[in-house]
Amino acid sequence: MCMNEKHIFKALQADKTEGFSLLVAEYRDMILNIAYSYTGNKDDSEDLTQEVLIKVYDKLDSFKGLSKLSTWLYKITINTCHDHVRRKKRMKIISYDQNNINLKSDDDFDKTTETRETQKLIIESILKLPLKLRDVIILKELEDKSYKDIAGILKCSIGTVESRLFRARQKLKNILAPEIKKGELL
Amino acid sequence: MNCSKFKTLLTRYIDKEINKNEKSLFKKHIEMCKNCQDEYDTQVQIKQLIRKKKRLIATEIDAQNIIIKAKKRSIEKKDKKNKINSIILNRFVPSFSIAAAVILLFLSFSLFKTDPFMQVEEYILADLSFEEISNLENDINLFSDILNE
Repeated sequence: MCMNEKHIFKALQADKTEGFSLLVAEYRDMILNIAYSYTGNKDDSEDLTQEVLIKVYDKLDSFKGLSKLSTWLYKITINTCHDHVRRKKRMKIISYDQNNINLKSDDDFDKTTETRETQKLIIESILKLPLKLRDVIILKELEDKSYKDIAGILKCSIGTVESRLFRARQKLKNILAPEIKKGELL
Repeated sequence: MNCSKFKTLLTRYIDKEINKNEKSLFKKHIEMCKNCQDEYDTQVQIKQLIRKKKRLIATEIDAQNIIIKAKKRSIEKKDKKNKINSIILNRFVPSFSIAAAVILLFLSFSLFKTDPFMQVEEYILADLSFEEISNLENDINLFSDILNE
């Protein structure tokens, strides 16, 4: 556990409410950004972030500090995001098919047109990945986690992480290569 | 190193999870093979592009608000559980008790109706001669006639 995690864990043991406030301040952005990579819009991501934090608060008593606090939070976040995607798929409100992507990234990243287009393309390409491949790309590229940490969070071997990353990048290559060739994105 | 081995090391190299030996083999191969060099360049570009994703900032998420919602949800859960328990206690338990009592009654009736009398009859008749049995049957018939009248 890093210093900040230790500090939050101690605060949680001393006073649940106080500790939870520190936890929310430290991790809410992380949870929101992961959720965004599963939903594609900010409103749903904020709802999902609240959902994750409510679960975290409920389960705080069961966290004994045997693993990293962040690992535990990543697990809860990813599981909640998976449930959300499955629920949405069942309801068929949002489809992540190539032809029907429901994004609001225009509102979420309202900078220059060029940046907006690039950001939209990045999130669209991530949303097109199957869940297992999306998990590893999010944890590696957006959260900068090591193979060992990713394997711990996803409860799989380092070899599996490696092969999923390879497959995810192959898929991203197929989606993004035409745009990269145009030279508009980099 | 061949191109197939290169592909297995590509991910590790890009993510800086490769060991020293593999790294030097990888570098040697990439200098010689144009296709693998192109593949490496594309993968690096994709990695850089994905990492450009802007991070959102959670401004609307407040710890106190979350705690209130969590407590409210916990109360709702408890209420739901209590409701289910009361349904079980008030409806299912009496119904099951009545059903169990009916089954027990039925079983005990069927037991007493057949087995005990048959066993007694077999026991009595076992040590008697043919004449004694026919006399006994006559007596029973007489007795049952009297009862019927």
